[in-house]
Amino acid sequence: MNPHEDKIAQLKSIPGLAGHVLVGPNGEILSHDAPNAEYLGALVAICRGGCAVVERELASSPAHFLAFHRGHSERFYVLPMGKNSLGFFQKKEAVGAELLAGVAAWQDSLDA
Amino acid sequence: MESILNELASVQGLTGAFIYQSPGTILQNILPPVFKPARLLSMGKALVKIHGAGALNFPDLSDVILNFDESTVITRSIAEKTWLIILGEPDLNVNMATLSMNLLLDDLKTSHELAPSEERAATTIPEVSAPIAKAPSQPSPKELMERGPLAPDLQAMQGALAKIMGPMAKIIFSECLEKWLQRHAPSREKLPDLTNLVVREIADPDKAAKYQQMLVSTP
Repeated sequence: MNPHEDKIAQLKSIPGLAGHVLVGPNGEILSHDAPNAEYLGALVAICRGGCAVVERELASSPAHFLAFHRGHSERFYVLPMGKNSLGFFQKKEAVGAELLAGVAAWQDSLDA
Repeated sequence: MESILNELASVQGLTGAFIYQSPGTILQNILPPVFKPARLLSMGKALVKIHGAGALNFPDLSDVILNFDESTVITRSIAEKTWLIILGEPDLNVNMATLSMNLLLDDLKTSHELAPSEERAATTIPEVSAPIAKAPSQPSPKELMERGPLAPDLQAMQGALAKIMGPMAKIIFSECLEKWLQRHAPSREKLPDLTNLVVREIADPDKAAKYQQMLVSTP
């Protein structure tokens, strides 16, 4: 297992995470374990561009997260990760704040 | 319809809201005046694009929540080609906000003002925004904020303002910075004048005092 696979394995093991798609700066899918990853990858890339516009108008730093709230289905989140972007589903029974904290801790471990 | 939107004002941490209709009309707006129409149009277009792309993936999509250091933005489709966008502080009670949106939705949907813009006399706001005039040798506010010797100080000042004013901070600080640059060549010695400009924009004296205290305690 190479180091990147190890990190992705850690991401997949975060409690409450139900599938992910990691997207590169040009919209390319770097890793995924979610259904319809191609469509999700395009969505993540669109989110990155849209967030940049809102950031320019409203904020002084990149968005912490973007969340798609859906009826009774799993929520889908998009987070900036340097030049890449990470999209992931939240399991129905999971708590959003705890999942986001888990992913943030995983991101910190990448920087360390 | 404005009175309907005003019912959202009781939501804790809410800054305001506007209704955006594609391809580029602000139907209603209860945000503070610092949120100029061109800025709302730009944000509206971007948020609607995200919401639309999300809806293609998730047919049961309700809201899109965007969270920044100084603000939270919620976008919801409320009628054909029409979206309600609300802005709040980072600690905006999202559950309370979305619940309030649910309660208002019926009123909004029955409002005749939500008809597609071609069916009524819509006020479409021109998208052209005038470039900011500045002396050729003077760095722009953006350049000053992003690089150069004053960037850390300016970013700290804007960051402190964000804690006081939430989503309005970036806009107000940018305007103050422009005024400051019109009066002075940028220098550390003249930063107190910038602080005074910002303080004048903070209506609440307690918040103004808190802002000044935050600047003093910033390393």
